Formats: sequence, C-alpha cells, structure tokens
Amino acid sequence: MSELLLLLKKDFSIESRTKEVLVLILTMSLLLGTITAVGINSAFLSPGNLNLMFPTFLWLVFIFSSTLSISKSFEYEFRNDAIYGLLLSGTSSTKVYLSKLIANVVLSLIGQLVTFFVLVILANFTIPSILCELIIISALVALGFSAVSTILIPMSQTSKLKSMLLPLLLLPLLFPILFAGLELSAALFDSGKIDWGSSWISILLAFDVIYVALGVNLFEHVILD
Amino acid sequence: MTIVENYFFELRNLTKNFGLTKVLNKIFLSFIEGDRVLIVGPNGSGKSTLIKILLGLLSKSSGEIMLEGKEVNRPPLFESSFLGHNSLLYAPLSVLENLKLLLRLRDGSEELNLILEEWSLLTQKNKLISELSKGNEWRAALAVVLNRTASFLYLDEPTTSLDQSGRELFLGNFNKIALNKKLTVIATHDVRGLAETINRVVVLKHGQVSKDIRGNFKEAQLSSLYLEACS
Repeated sequence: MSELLLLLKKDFSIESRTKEVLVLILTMSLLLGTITAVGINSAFLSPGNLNLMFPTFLWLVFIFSSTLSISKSFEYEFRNDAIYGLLLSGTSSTKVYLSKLIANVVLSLIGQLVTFFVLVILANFTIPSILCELIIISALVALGFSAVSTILIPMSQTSKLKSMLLPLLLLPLLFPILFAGLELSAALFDSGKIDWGSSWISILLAFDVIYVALGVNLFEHVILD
Repeated sequence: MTIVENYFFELRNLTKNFGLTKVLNKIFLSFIEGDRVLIVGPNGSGKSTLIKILLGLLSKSSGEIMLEGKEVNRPPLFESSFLGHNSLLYAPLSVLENLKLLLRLRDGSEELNLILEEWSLLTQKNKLISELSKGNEWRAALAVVLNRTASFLYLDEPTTSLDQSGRELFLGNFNKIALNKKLTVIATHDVRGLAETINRVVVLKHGQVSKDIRGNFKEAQLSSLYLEACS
C-alpha cells in the first residue's frame, strides 16, 4: 500500500509541476462545453427536449476532452525511459498501473465536472438535485475509461500508428460503458433518481471489473517489448 | 577429463529480429557466477539489443534463455540494475526525489546523503532532472544504478556523457561494485580503466559472437581487442 501511495505521490507531483494533463482537460472541457452550449441555445430546445439531450452532450464532450488529455499522461514515463527505471527498482507493474489508473480517473472526473457546470450555466439548464448520483455514474464510467486508456496509451507510444491507435481502439472498447453511462444519466435527468438495481449498473460494474483486471494483467506485457 | 562449467544463465541459439532486420543471429552465450563481461563491437553489431534481452526489457524472437536451469521467456527485471542510452530518471522530479523513489531511501537518511556527496550532487539535489546538465543527469543516473541491490549489473555506454572527473568516479565505483555482482555486462567504446575488473570479453559482429575470451586482461590487450573488433 505504501508503495502505491509513493507512486501516486510521484504521479501527482509530476502533474502539479507540469500541469499538462490538467490544463488540457480543463481547456478542452471548457471549449467543447461552450461550443455545445452555444449550439443548444441556437437550437432553442424546449426544457423537456434539453433534459433528454443533455446527457448525450455531456458524454460527447467527456469522450473528446478525456481522450485528448489522458493521452498525455504517459509523457514523462517514456521520456528518459523513466518507467523502466521504476520497474527495475522492484516496483510491481500492477502498482504502476493502479497509480496511473487512479490519477487518470481523478483527472477525467475533474473534466467531467467542469463540462457539467459549463453546460448547466451556458445552456441555462435547471439542475435537479442529481449531482451526487451523477458523480457516482461519472466515476464508474471514468474508471472503465481510464482502465482501458491506461493500457492503450503506452501501446500507442510504441506503435507505428502512434496517436491514431488510441481513438481507433479506445472508442469501440468503451462502447458498453459509455452506453451504460448514457442510459443511466438519461434516466437520472428524466426521473431525478437512479435505479441501483438496474441492469445498466450491473453492466457498468462488470465492464469496470473486467477492464481493470485485464489492465492489471496486461500492463507489463504492453510496457515491455 | 571433462570440465563441467556451472552455468547459471545461458542464451541458446538466440535470435532477435526487428521487422525483417536480423539484429542478433544464433547467439550462444553461457555465464558463470562472477562473470564480468565486456562486450565490444562496431556500431549496429547488436550490443544494446543483447543487453536488453539479457536484462528482460526486450523479448527474443527465437532460441532459449535458461536461468538457473529453467527456461524463461525473459529474465525478471527486478534482479537487475541497468543504464542504457537514457538516464531512466523522471525529468519533472528533483535529483533527491528520483533517488528516494528509485532506491527506496528515506529523506535525510545517512545512505542518501552519502550517495549525494559521493557523486557531487549535494548542491544539485533539489534541482529537477530537466534543469541539470547532461553530465550531472548522468551522475544522478549512475548513482541510482550503482547503488541498487541487484544481482545483475548491465551498462550500455555508461561514460558517454561524463567529463574526466565523472569518468574516474564511475570507474572507482564500478570496479568496486562489479566484484560483488553475480553477473556484470558492460558494452562500451571507452575501454580505458576496465582491465582490472573485466574477466571476459565478447566481440559481437553483425549480430553474432565472433570472439569470446576469458582471462585476466591488461589495458593494452583490451584496447587492441576493441580496435580489432571495430576495425
């Protein structure tokens, strides 16, 4: 556990000094959120229709801003081959993966919250008391998203396809959790509550578990040749 | 009488391809405990690739790797200490933070201070790696590599970025530390000062072992072997 905390401290120290992922995710969320809100306003959507469309806009902005930003999260792991120094120091690849995963979940959640508030403010959306539930859904989606992207980003660094590989592989793999997230948040915006026993929750949790388990087992193979 | 060597680490008929390029071709190498191997050869002969395969960073294309009598896909990374063409340090972290993270040392510990002092890094300890000169970054990298408690030591061109004093510092430490390792492998184009430690020279040419000599070497012998290998 202390090793994982040490790695998390390393990841957040690097992010607090470089601010590269955070600045990118905030900028992307703000820009894309604003563009979407302007589009919503121009369409003169009725409050009922806005309620129906809001989750779609929210997750679209999430996909774009998170995919672009999180791809920077391995920048300093590969500069100087630092990640190999870490593995040579006896650190288990599982812990390296988990610390990256946690950092990426936190950063994508920040992006999601910024998007939410930008859309709410600029699109004049009346917030029902759903923030807590929305954060839980977002955290579950962000966990699955980060579990997959934390495996695919190092793959894309060493692949000839480079930056093309990430969106090409990421989006199809994310389809089940994004669909579950969309369905759950649509129900949340519609009824103001979540049915915790719904099959979408089970799907979301199941894919989170599968993706994290795959990530833990595949990370070393992806990092090494 | 047959002499049976106690090999603990063997490469048998090992080949490594990058795409269509064969970088290592049918390598047979066996190591006994206490081997301190100098690998020499011209650029592109496969020295770095061979070290990365011994280390476990690269996978083989074909052949066998035997460790302690068992076939392994790749040797375990955590048993090795390595410095290649990059410093393996985190650029946005300070020298001190890198040493603490990579050597598992506590802030203010005696060992940490000794390492910083020995490698003349005390005044630079709070500087980020990205702010250091290449020479000082390399000192920090060597401080990590040579102070790791690993059984295997692999170095690939370790003195490239060092000035004369850094080189002497490296040689002093290397010649002391290599004696306690199960296996030491160094690939370099600068063989000066290595004769007292090295007990085996492997010459690589076109991805194949062209010479493998054991013994006690003199400075002049190493130099001529190097020149012959690279001619």
